[in-house]
Amino acid sequence: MQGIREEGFIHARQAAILMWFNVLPTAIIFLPSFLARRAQQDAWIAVIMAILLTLPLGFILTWLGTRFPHLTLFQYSEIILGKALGKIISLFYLLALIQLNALVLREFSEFLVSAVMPETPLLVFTVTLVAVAVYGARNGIEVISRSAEFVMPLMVLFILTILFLVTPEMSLRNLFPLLERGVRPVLAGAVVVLGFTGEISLLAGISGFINPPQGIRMSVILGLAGVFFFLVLVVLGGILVFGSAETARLTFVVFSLARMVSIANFLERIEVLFMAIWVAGVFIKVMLNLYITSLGLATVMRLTDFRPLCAPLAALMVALSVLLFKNISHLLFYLEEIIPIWAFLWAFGIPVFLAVVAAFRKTKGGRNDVP
Amino acid sequence: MMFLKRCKVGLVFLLLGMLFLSGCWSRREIEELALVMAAAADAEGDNNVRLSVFIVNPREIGGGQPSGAGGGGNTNKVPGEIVSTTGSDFTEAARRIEEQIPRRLFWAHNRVIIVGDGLARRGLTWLDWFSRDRQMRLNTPVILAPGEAREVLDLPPGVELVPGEIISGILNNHVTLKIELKELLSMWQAKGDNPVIPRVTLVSPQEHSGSKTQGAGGREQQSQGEGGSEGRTRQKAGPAAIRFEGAGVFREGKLIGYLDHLETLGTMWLRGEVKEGVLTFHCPEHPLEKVSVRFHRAQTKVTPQVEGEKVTFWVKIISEGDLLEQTCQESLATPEKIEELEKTLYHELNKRVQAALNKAQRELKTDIFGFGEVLHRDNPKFWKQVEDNWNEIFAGAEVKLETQIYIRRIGMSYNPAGGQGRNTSGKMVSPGGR
Repeated sequence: MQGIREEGFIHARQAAILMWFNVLPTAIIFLPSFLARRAQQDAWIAVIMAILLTLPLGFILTWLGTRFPHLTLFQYSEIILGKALGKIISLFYLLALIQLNALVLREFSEFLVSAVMPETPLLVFTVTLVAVAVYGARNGIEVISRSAEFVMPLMVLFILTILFLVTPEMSLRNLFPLLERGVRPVLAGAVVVLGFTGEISLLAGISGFINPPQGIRMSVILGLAGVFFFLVLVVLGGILVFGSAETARLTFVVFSLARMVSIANFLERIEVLFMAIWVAGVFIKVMLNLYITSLGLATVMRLTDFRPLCAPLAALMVALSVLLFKNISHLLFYLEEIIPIWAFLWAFGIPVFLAVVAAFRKTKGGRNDVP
Repeated sequence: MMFLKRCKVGLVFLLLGMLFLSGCWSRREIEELALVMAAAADAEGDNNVRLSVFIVNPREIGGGQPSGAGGGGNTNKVPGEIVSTTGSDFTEAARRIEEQIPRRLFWAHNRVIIVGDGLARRGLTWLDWFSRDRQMRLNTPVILAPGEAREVLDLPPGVELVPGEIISGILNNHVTLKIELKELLSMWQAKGDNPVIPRVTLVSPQEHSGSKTQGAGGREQQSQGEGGSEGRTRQKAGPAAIRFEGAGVFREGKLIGYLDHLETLGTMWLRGEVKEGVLTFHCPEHPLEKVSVRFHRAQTKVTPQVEGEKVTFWVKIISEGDLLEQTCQESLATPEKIEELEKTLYHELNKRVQAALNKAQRELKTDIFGFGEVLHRDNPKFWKQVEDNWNEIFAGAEVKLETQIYIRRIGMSYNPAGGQGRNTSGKMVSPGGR
């Protein structure tokens, strides 16, 4: 049992659900507004365009996953690149993950503070969430995927319910004219989407657990379909209800959408329930990220157990989440302008680089080839 | 096994309860909240604003009937209180309200935002706070009040106890335009559209109830101390009711003029906001008698046509209605008569539409119908050339009206009341098949 620090198997379906949680919880809150600012009423086209741009990444993850069955990115990077360079690449990836999780934590608490509880210090939300996430991450991948399986139907149900209940407020003419300013603004929007959807790259960190390994193809297909279906739905909902100008002006579009629900003065103010489910969704995402980071670091450092790393890494993430951004404008600017480039570097760059080298050197591997 | 499984599921829910049901940091008990049910925004002085809120008294609203409405007794029970302050902006004013009341303001139940003329003339930019504060809801309707908006808050309790419910109730009757905050904001932001907000008129007690004696409802007048403008107002002489009449027109975010009742109706038809309505006109053969038709559904389709620099809008109104009242002694329920009525309806509708068009194009030179946005959707290329001076181009645009109005049903009686129909023998005329 060298190399891999964890035993456990997940279904292809479970991996797909984890992919869904990698992107959706934060993307539905922040993405519609960014997209409306760039692509106006064509925001939803930008999401569809981003599918085409994310597909190659999905393909490369599948290719790596089937070529190196039962191995995670941190293991096959050493097979492909050799020990030293492999470790450096893995560490770079891990740094990106730590920073990503800090970002997610900050998005989470910043939203709760702005929208619901302005008097509460940010850290209260961050620390409570992370404390539970540490516990979850220590329990391993099977527990994480099962809790994800539990939360996902709730989240799907709530997104669909809200979109269904605001249909009276929707007006189809908000979508027209199509492609008014040509394709360029839509492409600019698609790039922002890539910043979020690039996170499916995290699948490489858990692909070793998918059983049978060929199932990863199914995971990628299902995961991408789920992610884009709901992203398009939410972005469309925002544009249809508020129109592109107002969507661009709102900070948290989905939350405002939930606040619009008002059926016969009776069924209204359901946004708090939505918030509860959303918190559960972010929790899954943070827990998974934390797990992958700890496992990856343990693999790179050749530790026998990843569990002792969970708490210290979580503490680091919490600290970074506070230190990295001064205020919400800073955070939003970062999400909109910098993340797309940064995600391109690590989320797309590293798997692509590994795949190219593996193809060139014709390396293959399985569980027994772990150095 | 099933039992164990169920226990486990139950346990999960219990644990979830621990997560979500425990107290939270920013918790506010309902007893500590002052629920704002209506807010009035006014201009004050040269540069200040006045914020007035109606805060409900939950003890009164909760159960039982409103006291003080029936016997006119000397009870202090009122459905709520009005608090009004000034500040350099609304956040400051809201803060100063909290200096005067024992509870924290809670805005999520606000039913209506009433904007005074003075503030509207200064501009809509003042409404930023109403969309930025986290407790505000974007589906709150906005209305315009003549003079000081806070006077509208003085409505006495009637069927509904608080002014917010009264106003939102009237708005839900579909008798006038209903513009919600989110619509207002997008109308304002769009270059091819301009905001129109329904306007209320205050109605004196005599006018409201139609009675000649004053104080039919036994309204007590409690004059408060000096400086009536500042501080709390419990109940003073105010309007007995409000009536929605006309609308205010905004251009570049500032109030520039008003529509009268007829023009507002025309605007509703042109904007496609009509959900139901009544058209009253003369009997075809008896110009002194009246016929009324009530619409249940209406649809407005606007198609722009661009020829060179000339823009024509084809407005097609499709509607269905029922015959609701007739005073002429002649059965209008025959197929021929109905057809005749349908033709007359075109003229009646055209009168309303032309009134609105004249006002918007000749007088205000402002596109209040969102025609610019229609053109924008239909012909983005042409729109790009005209978007910056759209209102001027709109003033010169031609609008052609086409209607498809059907009278589908004739109500519960065939012949007019007391009328003989075509047949004088006393036998009922059999309904002509249609």
